Amino acid sequence: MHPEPRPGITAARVLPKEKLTDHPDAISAFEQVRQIPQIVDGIGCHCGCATRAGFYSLLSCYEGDGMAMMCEVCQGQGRLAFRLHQAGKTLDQIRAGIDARYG
Amino acid sequence: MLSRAFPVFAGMIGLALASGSPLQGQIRASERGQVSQTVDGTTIKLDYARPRARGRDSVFGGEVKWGEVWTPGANYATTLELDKDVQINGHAVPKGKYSVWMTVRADSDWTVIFDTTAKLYHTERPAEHPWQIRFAVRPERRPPLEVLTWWFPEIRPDGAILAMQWGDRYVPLNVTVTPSHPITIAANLARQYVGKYDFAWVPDSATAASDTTSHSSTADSSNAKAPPPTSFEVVFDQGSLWGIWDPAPWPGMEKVLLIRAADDLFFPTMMKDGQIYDTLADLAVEFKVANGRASGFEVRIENDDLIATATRKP
Repeated sequence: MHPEPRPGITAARVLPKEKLTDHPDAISAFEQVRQIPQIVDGIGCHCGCATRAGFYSLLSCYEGDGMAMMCEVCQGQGRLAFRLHQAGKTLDQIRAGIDARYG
Repeated sequence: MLSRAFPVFAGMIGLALASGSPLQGQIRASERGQVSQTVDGTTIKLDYARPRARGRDSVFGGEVKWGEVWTPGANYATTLELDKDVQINGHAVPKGKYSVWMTVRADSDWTVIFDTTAKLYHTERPAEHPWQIRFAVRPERRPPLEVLTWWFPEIRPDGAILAMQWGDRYVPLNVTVTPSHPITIAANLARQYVGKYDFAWVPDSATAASDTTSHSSTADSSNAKAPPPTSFEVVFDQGSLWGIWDPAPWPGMEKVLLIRAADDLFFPTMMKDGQIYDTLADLAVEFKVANGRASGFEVRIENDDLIATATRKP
């Protein structure tokens, strides 16, 4: 269920802090995802949003209408991906960690 | 093909003639219905037509003859679809799609039959085959139901009751799913976590934790205050890992089963009367392990916020 990260993907479309003023608790998740777009773009989402139009990866949840603003599963997956990446885990290991926790 | 299609066609014509009115514009006598239930990642789905008793006092022994192999539905046979292996009344039922049949009897057990040919008309009663799943059930008497109904009157963490009723006969089927995570853990794995820990909540996190466990708390979560630091002991007992709080932060949390989801990741699970009551998958317990020994653990909620930490006691 996990997509392959798109070559050259960036965090350019990840919502900036200024658009998250109504959701201050979500800001840290957006900031962390912004640092690892090439990782987050290789992760599917377990919250059920994968059937939404325009969805490609967990990164999609942090772009456009930014459903991760309100979705704790999207936030949790983004934060966990960041923590595991910081701990030196590979993309496959990060995927496995997210599947174990949210799958 | 012709021989198999003929009874279907003949049955449809028979129904049309018996109705005494043209099919066009007629409401179906037995509308199609579906019911499904997911339990611990396994989806159980029933698709069936729903005949009405239409004032008949006795459906069984009348409309449905005693001794008949009958699909508990109408028109095309009722189907049962499973996306994972389950057990029903203790009988293994592999994932797949089955037509459902029952041999009905007046004064003895009925026989439930799951046939691997899912698409059968109600007149195409399957002959007995070795690959069929067959077992006996004891129907119960209940106040009559006008419309044949399948539903899930009971859901447990490890399964559900799937029930059928028409008229006054109620047939419960006990479905047990394959656990998504085993509740047991190998002794050599468990050993690294066993011990006593100092447990402390992260300030301002208790409300979130209380929300997660609110069904067990008598307190209003909106007024929850952070419980004081407590002691948490991890023990290995009867093949499973358990966490014992002293004192417990909330009623019902005195002793929790720790279900292993991955390396060093566990979900606390509440027990009641010796049975699993609820797995708190929103609370992740992550142990920190080095050289085969846990030095502590963290507890995180669904959005991965840290709500508690624990450090192994010296």
